[in-house]
Amino acid sequence: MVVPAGDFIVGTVELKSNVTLHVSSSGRLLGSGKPEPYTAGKGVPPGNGNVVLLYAVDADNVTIEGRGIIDGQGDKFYTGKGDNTGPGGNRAEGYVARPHQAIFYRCRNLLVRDVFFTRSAYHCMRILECRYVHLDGVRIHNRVNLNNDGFHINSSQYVSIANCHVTCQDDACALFGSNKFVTVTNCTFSTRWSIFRFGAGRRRTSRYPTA
Amino acid sequence: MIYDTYGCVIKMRFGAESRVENVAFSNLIMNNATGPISIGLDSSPRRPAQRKPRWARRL
Repeated sequence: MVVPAGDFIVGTVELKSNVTLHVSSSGRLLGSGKPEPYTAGKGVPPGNGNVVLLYAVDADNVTIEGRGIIDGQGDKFYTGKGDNTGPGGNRAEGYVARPHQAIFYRCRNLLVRDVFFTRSAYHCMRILECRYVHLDGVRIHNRVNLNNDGFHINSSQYVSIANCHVTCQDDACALFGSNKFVTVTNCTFSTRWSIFRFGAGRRRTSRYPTA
Repeated sequence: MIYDTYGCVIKMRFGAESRVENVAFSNLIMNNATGPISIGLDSSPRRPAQRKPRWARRL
């Protein structure tokens, strides 16, 4: 699947197994600035919101690559209201019905490289219960809305993050739940909150046996 | 390289039943980071019967 040169406005897109999304160097995939084209990702658990621009569930060998731009236009979802997941926050009144830029749930052999992600309405990239994840050369600039996380990794295994540059508003690299074998190398980060955040979320028994 | 971070670079909070081990950071460069490292336990219930174990080792 190729995004050629030019701007293309989309809503929610699901990536199936063995799909490569290539965003060419002068291509820009724009998330719609309106809520209607978005849906919750099918099968994505609702905690922390599951409305999303790009997602994959139970998929193998998904790749997103290329030197183009994925722009969530998240500034158009700004209300001044966050998700209230911080200490003492009332989660029931949190604003979670805005689209994350990418969610990968229970995927294996995920590769994201070279793409520039920007202006998400919520978190940039959520990696939930995945295994064998490689993020290389990714650039994130995510400072247009509250709770603008960079990488948000929950209960995943064998995750490598290398050569990435992240500027965001909230957690740059959150490691929640039960993660194992995560490496972060040769990256730069800047944020208004935490870079490496550990310990939030619930511990869960891994769906994978310990190697 | 961590730069212009007006929060916490490494923030670890261990709640009930959390287990963290074998976490290593090396060659971190921080430039203009207001809160480099924060490691702490969440508050636990006063009643011993309600307390759940948590631990962190080999950080």
